Amino acid sequence: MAQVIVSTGAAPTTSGVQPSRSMIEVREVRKDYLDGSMHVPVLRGVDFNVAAGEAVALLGPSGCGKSTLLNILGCLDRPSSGIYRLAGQDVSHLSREQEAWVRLHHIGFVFQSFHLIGHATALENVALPLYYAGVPRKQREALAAAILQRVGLAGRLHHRPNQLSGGQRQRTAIARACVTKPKLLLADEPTGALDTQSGREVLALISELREETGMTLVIVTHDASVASIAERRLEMSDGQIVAEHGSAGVQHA
Amino acid sequence: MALQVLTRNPGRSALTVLGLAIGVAAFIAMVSFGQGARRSVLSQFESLGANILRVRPRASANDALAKAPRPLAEADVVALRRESTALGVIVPHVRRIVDLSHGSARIRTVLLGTEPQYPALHDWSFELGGVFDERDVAEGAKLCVLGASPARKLFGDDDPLGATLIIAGRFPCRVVGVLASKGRAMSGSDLDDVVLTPLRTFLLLLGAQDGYASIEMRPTQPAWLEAARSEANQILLRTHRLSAEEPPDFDVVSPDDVTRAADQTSRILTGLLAGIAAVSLLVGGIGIMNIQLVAVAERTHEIGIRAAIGAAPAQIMKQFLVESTVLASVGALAGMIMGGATAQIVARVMGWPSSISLLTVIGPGLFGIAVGVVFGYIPALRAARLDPIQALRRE
Repeated sequence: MAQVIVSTGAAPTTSGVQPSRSMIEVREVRKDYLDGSMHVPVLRGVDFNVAAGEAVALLGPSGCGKSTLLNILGCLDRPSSGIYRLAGQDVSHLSREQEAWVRLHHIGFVFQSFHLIGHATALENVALPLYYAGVPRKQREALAAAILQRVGLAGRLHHRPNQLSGGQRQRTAIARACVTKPKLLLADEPTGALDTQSGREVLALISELREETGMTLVIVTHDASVASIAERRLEMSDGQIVAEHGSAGVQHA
Repeated sequence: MALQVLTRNPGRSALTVLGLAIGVAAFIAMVSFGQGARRSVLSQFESLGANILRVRPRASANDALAKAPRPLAEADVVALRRESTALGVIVPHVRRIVDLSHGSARIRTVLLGTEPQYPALHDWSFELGGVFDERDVAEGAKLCVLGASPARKLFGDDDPLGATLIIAGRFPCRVVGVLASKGRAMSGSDLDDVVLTPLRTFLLLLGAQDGYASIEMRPTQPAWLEAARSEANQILLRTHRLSAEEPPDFDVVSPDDVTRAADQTSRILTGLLAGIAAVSLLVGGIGIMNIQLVAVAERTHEIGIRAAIGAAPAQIMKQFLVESTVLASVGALAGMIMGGATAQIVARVMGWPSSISLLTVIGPGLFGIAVGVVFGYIPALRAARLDPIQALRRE
């Protein structure tokens, strides 16, 4: 299997996960769903690496398995077989509590449809991961306010999602994803629900934050212009990576 | 954050809380009702005097071949007084329901023919005057002591002392004393509805075909109660010419026996009432479970979001447990207030000593909260076990 590791010099620092040049190592990952008595394969053996600090786009038509792969990368789902190492640690066989811990401390998620809590304000939404991390109220509100200011929503702290525009909602979601300073940001069609202008701004924001923090980015999209913020693009089809484009050249799985 | 559960859907929360509040209130009211009744029964029997033995004739033998029961008679009292060593005061009385009149006022009451020690034996005190003496008994003096009720009914605010009553339409009797009021018994019967007259006077005027209604006795020392009881038993077996194998035609009982039986009965009553109340608490708990299941279903998407950003199953579980605990606590608090108030009102209406203790109010309150936690557990577990991906898809 071909492996491409692009070093950017950014090393993971958080304790609890072994330091590694590779942020993501995926080996022979398969995922089946049980449909009645039939095992329907969604991922048919996926292999790839993402270096720490690298940005990778997963491209492909809908139903190709890229969202399932993203869920596995985000520890929201487990592979049926194969190994997924996050920063050198095998996270494919964790308990649900451990998975939650990894999501909380190492992974930020940005979704197409924002997934903000409707009855909570922007500030409360952004502060929520810190609540689960056990950060005291004052401190988490200060941290949440600071990052909301960074994403350009200083004046919207106490607005509820339905009082915000689509772009503002996605900025809030990005702030929530980044407030815990994750090593890995996963974005699932982050511009899919936005108009072109807002989408462009959101992508620019993600790129800026990545440069500021050195976090690794995996972005799922079917839009080539969105994929262009990544250094490398993996094309998926029918549960496999079929092509790879980017700084390290082209590889076929 | 947990308090949002109350404000987000105030109507629904109020109804849920009300269910548990009624359960807790019912529990408190029932338990204190039962305890109040029990205390009332006990205090009633205690008013007999804790250290008294009572000899009662046994109504009739079931066996036709058995000897006819012998009424309690003077011979029994004489024998008891002569032979016993453990018995101090020994007071017989006869009893009949009679008409009593004074002027145009006429009542029906219980007339006791007894001896001067009777009021002291029962710890009865006097409102006015006092009791007749030994010489009055010996002479069959036509005197009487009125209970508070006959005194009030016949004389109202007038002074009854020295007045002359007519007993059973024929016999005049002078009032020498009025007893202090003792209130009503648990059964509602009037403890003050009694008139005392000298034993000999009663026998001369009205006779006593069935002998004494009872002989009441106090041991010389409180610790000798049981010794005195067996002594009295032996003496009476002899005076009644019964062998130890024959069924006696009398009983020697102590208030302890009666109290114990009454206590047991009222304990069962209290338990039964508490059981009924516990069922209503249970229904309140099911209400909480129901509403929390609805909440979990409604907020599945939100749970998915929380899980995706890193909330551990235990943290999600805790959130819902806290919510149901908050609901239960508010309900329990309301129920404690409602139940406490109800118990107070019942106690006041029934004239019982207030039986609200910290235990009877806080106990059901804590139990109510525990019910909320237990019934909140299943919805909380369901929330914690949701698959984040499935949950996120639900809008």
